[in-house]
Amino acid sequence: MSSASQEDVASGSASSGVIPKFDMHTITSVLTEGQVETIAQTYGISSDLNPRVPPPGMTMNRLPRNSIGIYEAYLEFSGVRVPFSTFLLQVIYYFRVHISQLVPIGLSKVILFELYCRSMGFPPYLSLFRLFYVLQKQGHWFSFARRTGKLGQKRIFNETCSGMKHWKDRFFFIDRRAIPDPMPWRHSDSSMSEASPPFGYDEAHVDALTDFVVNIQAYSSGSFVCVRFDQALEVSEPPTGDPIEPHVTAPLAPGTAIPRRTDLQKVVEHADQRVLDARERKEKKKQDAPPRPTSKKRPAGEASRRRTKRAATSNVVELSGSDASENTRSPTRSPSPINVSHPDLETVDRSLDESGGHDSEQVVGPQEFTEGSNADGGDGGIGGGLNASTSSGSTRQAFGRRTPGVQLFIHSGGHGRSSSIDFISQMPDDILVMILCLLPMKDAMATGSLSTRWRFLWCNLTQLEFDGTETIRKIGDDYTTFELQRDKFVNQVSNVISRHRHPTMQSLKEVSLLSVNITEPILVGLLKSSPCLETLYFYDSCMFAHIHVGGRDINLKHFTLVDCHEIESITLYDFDLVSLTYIGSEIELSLTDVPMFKELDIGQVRVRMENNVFKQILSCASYLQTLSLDLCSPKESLNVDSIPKLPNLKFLRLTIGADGDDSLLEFTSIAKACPRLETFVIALLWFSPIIKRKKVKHAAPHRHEHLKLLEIGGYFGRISDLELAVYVMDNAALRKIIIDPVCAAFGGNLIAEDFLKREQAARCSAERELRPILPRGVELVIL
Amino acid sequence: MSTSSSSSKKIVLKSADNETFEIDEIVALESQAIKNMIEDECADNVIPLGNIDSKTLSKIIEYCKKHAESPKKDDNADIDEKAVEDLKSFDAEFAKVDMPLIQDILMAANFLNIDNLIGLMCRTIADRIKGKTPEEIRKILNINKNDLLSPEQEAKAREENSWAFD
Repeated sequence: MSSASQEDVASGSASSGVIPKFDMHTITSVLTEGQVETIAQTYGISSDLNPRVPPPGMTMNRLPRNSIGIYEAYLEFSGVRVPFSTFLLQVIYYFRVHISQLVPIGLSKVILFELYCRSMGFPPYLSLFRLFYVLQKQGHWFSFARRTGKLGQKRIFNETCSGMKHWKDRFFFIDRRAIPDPMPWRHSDSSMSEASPPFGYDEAHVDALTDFVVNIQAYSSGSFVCVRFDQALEVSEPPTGDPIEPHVTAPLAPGTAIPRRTDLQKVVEHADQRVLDARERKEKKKQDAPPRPTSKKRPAGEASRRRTKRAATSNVVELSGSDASENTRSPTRSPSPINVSHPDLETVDRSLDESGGHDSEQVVGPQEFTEGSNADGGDGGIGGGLNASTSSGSTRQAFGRRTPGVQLFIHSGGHGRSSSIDFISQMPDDILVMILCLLPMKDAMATGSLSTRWRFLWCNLTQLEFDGTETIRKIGDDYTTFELQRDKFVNQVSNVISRHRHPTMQSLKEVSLLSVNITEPILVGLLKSSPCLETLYFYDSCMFAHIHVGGRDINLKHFTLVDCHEIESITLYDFDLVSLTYIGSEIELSLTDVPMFKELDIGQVRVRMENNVFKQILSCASYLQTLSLDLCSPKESLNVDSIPKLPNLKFLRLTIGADGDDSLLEFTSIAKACPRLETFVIALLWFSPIIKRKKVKHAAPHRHEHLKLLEIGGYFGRISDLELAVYVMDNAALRKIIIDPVCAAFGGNLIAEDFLKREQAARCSAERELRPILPRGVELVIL
Repeated sequence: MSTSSSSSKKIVLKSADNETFEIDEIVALESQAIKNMIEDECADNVIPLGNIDSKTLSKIIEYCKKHAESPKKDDNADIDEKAVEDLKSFDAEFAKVDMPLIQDILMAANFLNIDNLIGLMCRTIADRIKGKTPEEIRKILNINKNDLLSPEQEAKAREENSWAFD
C-alpha cells in the first residue's frame, strides 16, 4: 500500500480542538452583493471571474460545475489569492480534493509552506510538502495535517491554531475557469491513500525548513496579507537571467473547457469500501464493548477517528440522508456531486456518477496532465536510443497544468492589422505545444531560440525521443571517438531531460530503451518515481543478473525484454502486470500474485522440455489468455505431465525448430491442456527439413471444442506438417486454416532463389495434400 | 427565446465587424463552445463573436459545413473510404492560405473549440516550419522582433539544446 496510509497522521491535529462537522449541506452564505464586491476589490479578484453571491439556498456541497466556492477566510486568513498559486494547485491536484472542500487552516498551511520555501531561496515542490503534510478528513471538509513517520518530530510550523469560527457561512462564487485543472469532489468516505510520491526531495531543504519552527498565527492575519502574494514572491526570485517563472496559474479563457477528471480523481468521489468496512467493524465492536471516552487516548487509525467523529455527530448521519434525497429531487441538471456521508446510499452514489459524467460532457480534448520525463535512465547508457513518452494520444493532452499565457483575443476585428503584431506568440501554450508535438524532436527543441515566448515551450513536449544511431553510424569503428561521442550523447540526453519543464515523472507512461545499460538502481528508481508508467521496453540492453520487480505501488502493465544481456532470473510479484515478453537466453522466471496477467511470450530461450518453463508459469497458468513459446530445440521429449492446465488460454503460439521430419504431434498435448483454445499457431523454423516418411501418423483423438483457427507458419510440406494439420482438422470444428510457407530462419546455405523455390513447392504441396481432405466449411488460406 | 432557437435549428453568428451568418444548428455544433452554449440554453438568437472577423468566420463556417456533412467516424465503423479521402483533400485545400489567415483561424478555432480544425491548423503550421532554421521560422511566423532573445540568451539556449543542433 501507499506509504501514506491514514495511520500516520499526527495526533496533534486531532487534539487541536477542531470538532469535525458534517454540516456543509446545511450552511448557506450570508454574504451580500456589496460585501462580495468589497472582498473582490480588497483581494484583487478580477471582475472577469464574476465574483458573485451564491444563489439563495445554495450550499457548498451543491456547488455548480461552473463555479468555485471561495470562503472569505481563504483570502483573509489563509492568504490565498486569485489567480491561484501554481504550487497550491499542484498540491490540490495531487491530493485529489476540490479547493472548496478545504478548511481555511488547511489552505493556510500550503500558502505558508510556499512562502517559507521561497523565502529560503528555493521553490516549493510537492514531494517536499508531502513529506510534512497529509490530507485529513474533517467532517465534510478536508485539511492538511502533519505527517508523522519519517521525519519524526521535525516540523516547520507550530500549529497552535485552534478551530476557527464563523467562516463557513461566508462564501461566494467565482468562475470555475479560475482553476484550469480538473478537480474531483472528494467523498468524505473516500480512501485517503495517495499516489506514490512524485519524486525525491533535497535533505538540505528539509533542514532549512525545520531549522526554526515558525508559529503559524504570527503570520495568519498580519503583514503577510498586506502584500499581494504573487508580487511578494516574484521579488524573491534569484536573478538567473532566465525569464521569471510565473508562480501563479492564470484562469482559462472564457469558453475553454476544464480538462476531464482522470480515473484516479474519480475514485475519490465515491466512498471507499475499505473505509466503510472499517467503520462497520468498529461500530460492531463498539456495540459489543462499552463506549470509551473519545478524548482519552489517540485512536489507532483512520477508522477509529472516523468513528469518534460519527459518535459526536451521529444525528448528522441522518441529515446526510435527507441531503441525498434533496439531491434526487433536484432537476436532472443538478450540478456538482454532493458529498454523501451516509454509506448506505448506493442509489445516490450512482446519481453522483451521472452528474459527474455531466461534468465531463463539456470537455473536449485533454484528460490528464502529462508531465514529462525526468528519467535518469540515460545514465551509463552505451549510446543508443532513449524514448520516453508520456502519452501517445492526442497532443491536446499536453495542456492542463501550467498555461500561464492563456491570453486570448486581444485582436480586434482583423481588418488591416499591423504586420508587426506577433499573433502566434499570443496563442496559449497548449496550442503552441501542439505544434511542437508535430515536429521532429530536434526541430521542436530548436524553437527554444526563436524568442522569449518560445524559449521554454519545448519543455512541455509530452514525448521525448532521442535517437543516437545516426551519431554512432557517423563515428564508425573509431573506438576513442565512440567513447567521447557516447558520453556527449548521454550528457545531452540528461541535459534535455533535466531541463524539461515538468519536474516529475508523475505521468510518464512509456519508456523504451534501446541499447542503454540499465542497472538495478536505475530500474528501481524508474519504477518508483513514475507511478503512471505502464509500458517498459528494453531492447539490446545490458541488464543485471536478478531482476526483481513487485509491489502494489507499481503500475507497470507491459514489460518487454528483448535480447538483453546478463539476466539470470526475473521475479515479478504482486502487481497488475498484464503482459510479459522475454526474448533472450535461458532464465529463471517467477511470477507470483499477478492476477491481471494475460499474455506471456517467451522466445528464443531454447526452452528444453526438461527446462521448467511450465513450472515457472504454473502460478499464473489459470489466468493466461495468450501464450507464445519458442521451443527451439524440440529434440528433448516433451514431458506431458509437466504441462499445467491452462483453462483460459485462447491463443497459443509455438515456435518450433523443425529438424528432419520429426513428428509435431506431441506438441498438440500443449493444446490439449487448453480447453478454451481458439487460435493455435505453429511457427516452424527449418533446420534441415527433409521429407522422409510416407505414412501419416495419428495422435489419440481429443476434442478441441473452441478451436477455430489453425495457422502453420514455415510450412514445408513434410509428412509431419501434414499430420499436424490432419490432426487438428479431425479434432476441432475449424473455420480457417492458414498455411504460410515463408520461414524466417535457418536455411543452411540456401540462397534467396532456393527459398522461393521451396516456398513455392510447399504451397503446391499444401494445395495438393490439404485441399482434398479439407472438411466442409473450413477455409484454407495459403499465403 | 432559447427554445425557439433550438427548434428552428438555425443559429446566427455575428462577427466582430457586425456581419451576421445564419447557419444550421448542426454546423454550429462542430464548435464545442457553441454546443455548450446551446446545451446550457444560453445561446440566444444571435451569438456575437466579438473577436472573430467575417473573413475568418466565413472560412470557419466553410470548414464546419463540410465536416458536419461528412459521415462521422463513430457513426459507422466502415464509412466509405471515398468520404474520408474527400475530407482529406478538402482539408488540404482548405489549409492552402497565407500564414496570417491560418493564425486567425487557429485562434478562432481555439476560442470556438473546434478540435479538428485546431489540429489541422497546427499541422499546417508544423509542416511549414519543419526543418527550417530559427531565422526562417521567425520570418514565417512573424515573430515579434522585440521579443527576441539577447545574443547571450540565444547562445545559452543553443548550448542547452545543443543536441538539437548537432
